[in-house]
Amino acid sequence: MNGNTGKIINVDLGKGSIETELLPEEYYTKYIGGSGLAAKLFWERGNISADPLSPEAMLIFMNGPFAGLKLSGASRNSVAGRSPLTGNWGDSSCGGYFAPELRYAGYDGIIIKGKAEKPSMLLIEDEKINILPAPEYWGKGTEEVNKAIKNKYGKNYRVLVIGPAGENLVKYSIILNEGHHAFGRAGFGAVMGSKNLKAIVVKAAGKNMNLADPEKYEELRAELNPKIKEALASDVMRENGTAANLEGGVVSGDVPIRNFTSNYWEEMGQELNGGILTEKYLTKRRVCAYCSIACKRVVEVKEGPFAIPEGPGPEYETITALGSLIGSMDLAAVCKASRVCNDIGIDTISAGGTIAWAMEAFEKGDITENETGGIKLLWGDMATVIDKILPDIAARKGKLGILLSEGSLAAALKTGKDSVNYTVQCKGLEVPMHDPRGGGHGLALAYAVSPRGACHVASPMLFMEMGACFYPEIGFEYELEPMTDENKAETAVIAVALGAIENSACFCQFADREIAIPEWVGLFNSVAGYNWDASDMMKAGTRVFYLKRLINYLFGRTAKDDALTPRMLEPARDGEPEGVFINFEGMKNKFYELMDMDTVKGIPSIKKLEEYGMGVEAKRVWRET
Amino acid sequence: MKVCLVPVGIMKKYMKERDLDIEADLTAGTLIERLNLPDKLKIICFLNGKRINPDGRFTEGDVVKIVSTFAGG
Ligand code: SF4
Repeated sequence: MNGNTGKIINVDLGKGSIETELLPEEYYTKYIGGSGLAAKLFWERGNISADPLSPEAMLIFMNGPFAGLKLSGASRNSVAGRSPLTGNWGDSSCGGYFAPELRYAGYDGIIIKGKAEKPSMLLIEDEKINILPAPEYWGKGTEEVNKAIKNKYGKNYRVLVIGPAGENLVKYSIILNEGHHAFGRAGFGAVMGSKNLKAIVVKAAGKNMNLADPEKYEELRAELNPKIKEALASDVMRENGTAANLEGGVVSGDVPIRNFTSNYWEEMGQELNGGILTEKYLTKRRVCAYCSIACKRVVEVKEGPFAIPEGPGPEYETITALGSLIGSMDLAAVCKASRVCNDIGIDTISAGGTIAWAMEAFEKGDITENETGGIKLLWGDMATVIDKILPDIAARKGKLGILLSEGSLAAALKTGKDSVNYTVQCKGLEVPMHDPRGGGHGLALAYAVSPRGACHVASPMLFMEMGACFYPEIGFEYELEPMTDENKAETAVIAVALGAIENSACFCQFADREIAIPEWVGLFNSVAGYNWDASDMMKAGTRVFYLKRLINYLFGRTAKDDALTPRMLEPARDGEPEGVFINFEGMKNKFYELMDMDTVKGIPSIKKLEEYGMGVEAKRVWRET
Repeated sequence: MKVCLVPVGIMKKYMKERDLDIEADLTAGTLIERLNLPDKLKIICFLNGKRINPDGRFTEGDVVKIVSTFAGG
């Protein structure tokens, strides 16, 4: 096989067994790799009725075909399976350094089942694969464990680790690579924790790669790397990180404030933006493997109540989720809260979203000191967030820690009193930090139809709406007006396929938005030898999207779950989008029609599935009719 | 007539705050073109907190915020 190795590792932690397996090439040509191939394997082998935190649950790590190929943004990895936070299909992508090392060791992915009797780690050194006892790391923070493993094995051993939150089965726990890069969303750190698996470590001896057309690939790489590096957006993010234009986002009404109750806070925009982070706290810029964009930040807060030593700094989502969303414009506090989340191992978006919901519930009197164990939940009280709330969530300790450790939807369902109405989530996944009311109405549709729940990276809708990319070869050559529903369903049809391609190829959206369709096709063909044209590639993307919809259907999710909460759909109360109404149902209906999806079941028709070579899959979901 | 242009966010990298003499019938779209900034910035003008459409116009003394749609993930 070219590009991919075709080989995966099957681990059963309960039995202590390790086997390697060769996958048929057709799996790759149909589902690409990354989260698409993971969906295929889950569909085929997953136990649908298994609790995501039970030993039967499958935890899948999967590379894309370009891992390790020295191409900017192309060396990410996907983790996937059933999300413990949402109970649905979940996947999450991580940059860093794990993917190329796994590729060089000879594998495209790892499937983990079972539960180890005692705390363990998985060590992969080319063909030598071992499950090792790891009691010394259990209970410890990600930073300490990452360092300890590197000290023991060597600094070039690539490490995935969970924090105490994952061990304690907090539903939005992360898996962290090299102490800085997270599989952030959907709670797969808890799945690792439920299997008593503290870490996965990989080291390859060589860097052997097998490409279909190495010359053609080198030609493409020589064009694409400088193109990505020199793009205006890359330059902006290299200088001031992903929060570079947060202040502009505040003026547009894109940046959520106090649990999405406000769309305008001028002073906050001036305090929390990436330029201020650079000026006050930045010490270094960092990259994921082979990426020239270097959007990652290293920061140090030298003094004050939120002082932290030099280490990983926050990006846009974290700055907003642990800043404006919970009513704070204290950038030093955000840096510290972000560091704490990394170390205890929780997702900053879901943590911010859940705490913001709780702060509003407290303000409204829907939860009181009775339910919080005496903790006052006040907007912007970062000392309490950092010293009390986050550690209690990770430890599942105290009334509040236990309540918030399940995510905002579960906390609201437990609280009652209509508090679900002001959760800001879709299918149980907290909405990321772009408010469609100010950022672009198409994003509301993208959040709702995304298989894993509200997600800004499931498709490039955000970038398409803002005019950052055009794809004339596949019909996207028109300018969009972000604040209307015009052409949004049509754009979403293209966006969900492109999103599935980038998440299956494990490409970073910041880099791949510079790649034109013929270049994408050229990459697949020169690396993996698929002989695709643009339509074959788009078909693979749509197929991946459809398959994830089918998996969700088996979990009981239907069209009614493609919904946003009332808070997200009420007109904004201030700022640029004040009073504007999103025609959400209109966009959704049109999207369903264009995708030929059943308006009750939320899955494609038998005819559509057959058209995509998914006749067998169609039988499984449509068999009762 | 005079309007004041105020760059916001990443726009500060590309221009300074300044007063500009413009014709009374100048549209926001033409104003943006005249600034001669990179296309990729996708600029929008804001007046009193609201977007101005490309065919919108200004009045004497307006303070116009110049914003790029650029967003990080
Ligand atoms: S753009 Fe940033 S997040 Fe994406 S691969 Fe490069 S360094 Fe990593």
